[in-house]
Amino acid sequence: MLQFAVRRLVVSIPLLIVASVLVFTVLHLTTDPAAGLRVNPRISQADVERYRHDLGLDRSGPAQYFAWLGNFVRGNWGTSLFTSIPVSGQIREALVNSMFLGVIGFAIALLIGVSVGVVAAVKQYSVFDYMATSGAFIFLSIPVFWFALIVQLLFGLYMVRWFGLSEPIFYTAGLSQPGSVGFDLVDRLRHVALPAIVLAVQSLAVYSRYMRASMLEVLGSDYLRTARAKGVPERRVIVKHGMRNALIPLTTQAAIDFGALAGGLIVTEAIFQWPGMGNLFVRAMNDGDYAIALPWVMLTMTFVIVFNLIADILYAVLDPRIRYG
Amino acid sequence: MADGTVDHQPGPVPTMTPVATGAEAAPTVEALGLEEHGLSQRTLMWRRFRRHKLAIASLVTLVVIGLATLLAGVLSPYGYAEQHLDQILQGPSAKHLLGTDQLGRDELTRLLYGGRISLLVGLGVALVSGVVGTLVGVAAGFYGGRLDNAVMRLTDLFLSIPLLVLLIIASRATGGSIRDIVLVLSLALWMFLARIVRGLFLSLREKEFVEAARSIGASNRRIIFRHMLPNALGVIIVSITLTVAIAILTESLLSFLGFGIQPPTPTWGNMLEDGRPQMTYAGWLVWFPGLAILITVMCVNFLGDGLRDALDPTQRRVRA
Repeated sequence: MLQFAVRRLVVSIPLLIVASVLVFTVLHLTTDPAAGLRVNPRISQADVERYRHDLGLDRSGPAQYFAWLGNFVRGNWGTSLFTSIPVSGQIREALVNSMFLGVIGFAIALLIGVSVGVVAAVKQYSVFDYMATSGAFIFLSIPVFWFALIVQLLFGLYMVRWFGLSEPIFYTAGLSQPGSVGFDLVDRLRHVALPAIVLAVQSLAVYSRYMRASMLEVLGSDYLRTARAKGVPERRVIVKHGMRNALIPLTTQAAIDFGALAGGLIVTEAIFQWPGMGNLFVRAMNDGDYAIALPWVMLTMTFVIVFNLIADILYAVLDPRIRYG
Repeated sequence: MADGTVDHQPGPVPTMTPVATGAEAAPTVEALGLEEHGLSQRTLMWRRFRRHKLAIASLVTLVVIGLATLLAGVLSPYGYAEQHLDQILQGPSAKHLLGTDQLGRDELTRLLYGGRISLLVGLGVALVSGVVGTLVGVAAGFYGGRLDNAVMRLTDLFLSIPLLVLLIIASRATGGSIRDIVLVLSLALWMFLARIVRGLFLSLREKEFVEAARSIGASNRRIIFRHMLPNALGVIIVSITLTVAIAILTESLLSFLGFGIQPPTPTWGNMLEDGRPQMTYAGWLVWFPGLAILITVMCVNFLGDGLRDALDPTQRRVRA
């Protein structure tokens, strides 16, 4: 197994290199980090050139890229081209914020998605099943971006108006109250609620469909009939014999999705002004700040690759019929 | 997961679509359409499709939406860029059925013209990514070996870059014309079909009828296009249909990021983005474009589901 894991990881290294070259090339060709300085009449041309020289921006593209790559693999991630703030700190902070939002949304999605899927499968063709199925179709057809706005309107405006509240129950923007100091869990949760709902609703639809399908398959299996024949109580049949096995395919899907959380949620974070990885990347791309964009791409892709690997391993561990390829 | 990574969307086709992965009701002889002996394939498909009431309703709705957008010039007395600065930000009324925006442009008119572009983008992306995905999948699956290896590494690369990152990178390198947007979205969505087709071709290649065709001296080209492709067509058509839905959703994301089709040309996506600053006092500017996208995408998804039932009877039936 170890050999399998190591081989898979080594094979992915070229992927990372190619992706980072791609991002660098596009940034290098389309964005000039010094553009803002050039149009400022108070900054002389000589100062702009000095700035570019200090940052190495006057060197050729390949030279810049390889200088960056050399530093990167030695653990020296440097500072942002704009703010001179260390890149590693910025990324760490954004990653923590994104994961906080992601894990909460992910947990809601899994919890509700699995429950809905199981009930829909157990009561196949019931009213609940129909509602869950059509609900999933609707949620899968909603533009995220629009849904986020509607959630903001609903909680930030309509509910305040209807119930005559002095302030919204859940806030529509930011990480915490402006001006607040330190970490206040209640306040943080009131801020994370709406983006987490937006995130959860989309994945929930997918998970409930997956769970329903795999639960139906398990419910029709022979070992479940055996369990019933032995006189195992129905509840135990469904939870212990049924759900445990039906969860296997979902586990791998969830592991893959979890890896993707590190990249943050570009749209949701932008609309709710959540200072996470998604926002960091969009800003870096707009500024042409490759010192942030490149480590960002490396890190998020590594997460995706590692969690894909974990998904494969989990699958084989949970289901002994599967062997490593 | 949703967003960014997949900001949901455009999420990869397989997760996006409520695929009938598992055992629904066991396929009865009736559900598989086997009771009709002596009928042509086409008749059988049509019968299976007709049984899916929601798919029929969706098809009708889509045709109505399509016609309405094509006839925008006839249906509406206004132009999409026509400003009435004395009537800005008015709510729905008899004169402006869905209200006006901050420049006094009629929202319904813009919705109709915008739908034209959004649908065009959706269809264009489905076509381009469908053709590219199919060809790549066919080449990899049929010829195998080194070509297959190279092509699969390429799809791996595209799949491991988060979708929106790919979109942002690609749209920086292009302008905002319809053609550019179609190309950018196709670039981000071709891999899913390529993988499916490759898988199909890998298994079809070993089938007896392919061997039979080869033994009577059929050329590779003939084997691929006359013998193998028709067997994969059902799956390809379903996947392409669902790509239309994903493309429409993704176009709205691009507009949100400011990389989409540029104003004053309306699309549902950029109308949504355009209405965003006004949403607290002119909610209709956000509600209507969003609902237009939602309804259209939902219909396309139902249609895809119905087509799956009709064209791909090996897949178990999904009720919707």
